Amino acid sequence: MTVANALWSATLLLPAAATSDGACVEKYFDLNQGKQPLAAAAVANGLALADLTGGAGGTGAYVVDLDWSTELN
Amino acid sequence: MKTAAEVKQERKRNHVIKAALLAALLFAAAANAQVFSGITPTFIPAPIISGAITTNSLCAATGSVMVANGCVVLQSPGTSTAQITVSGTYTGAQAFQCLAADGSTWNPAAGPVQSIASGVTGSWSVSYAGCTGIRVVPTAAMTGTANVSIESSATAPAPAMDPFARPISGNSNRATYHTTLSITVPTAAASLAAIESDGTNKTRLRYIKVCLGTGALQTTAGARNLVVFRTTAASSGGALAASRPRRPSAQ
Repeated sequence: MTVANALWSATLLLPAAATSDGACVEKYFDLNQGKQPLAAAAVANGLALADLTGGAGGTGAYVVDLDWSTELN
Repeated sequence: MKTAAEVKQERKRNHVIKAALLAALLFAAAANAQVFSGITPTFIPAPIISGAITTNSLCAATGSVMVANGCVVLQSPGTSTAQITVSGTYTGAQAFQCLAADGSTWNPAAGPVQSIASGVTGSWSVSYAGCTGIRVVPTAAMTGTANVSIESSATAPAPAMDPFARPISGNSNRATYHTTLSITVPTAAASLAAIESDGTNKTRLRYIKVCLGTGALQTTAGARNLVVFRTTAASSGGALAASRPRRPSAQ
């Protein structure tokens, strides 16, 4: 499956057991190297995180932690 | 002109300062000796390969050979995903392909990303399940150079983390924001979360962590595919990340 304008992707591996603890994916994007996902200033432009609903399990709520910075265009 | 008493007092003060400095040096040396006297940690770098792609049709549809300027191939057992990074200035679409167990047949990678359009750069995680190799290969005529690296990842399970732990901020001197969202997986095609740029500032993502919620229903082993993408329309579904300035102490 191809996602238009995809900048980064990851796979959240889920354990077989019933517990949901510890199933996380984490990424620090490199600083000052121009590798961070970037979206230009404009109305209706931005960055989004999509779940492609691939795989199985994990129905329910996810906790998403985001850090971002803003700068003049 | 200093008196003899003043000179004596100054010398005494200098001795005290020198003694303090010497004690500090000895303490630091002892601390370092304690740190390095233990077992030396061993770092095993993940298999990684890189190369430049400039020309289409150099790599055959079968086989497992990496061809200079034609395709970049990583063959590495014991991995669950491969991280593909493409940079440079080029035209010509690129495909991410999986080498089958027969060692010669290339199929489209399992995803979540199987190909990128002409000129696209970025970094993607591609499933290695069922593959004996992963390659990036052009599927159209090319101009310019696509610099490609493929890095395998370990099969070890993700370490337990506190979903609500605050990330350590980097050294950026830009205004930095954070948010923590609890989001139910949308049933229709929609975003989990979105950060919208304002009218004058561009947005740069610096950190992301996604955890299965503690109350989520987990019944079977599996994997969820996550993609960060650049939106070109107003976000639909999911949560809109409301910016909150980071705490100054975490900068």
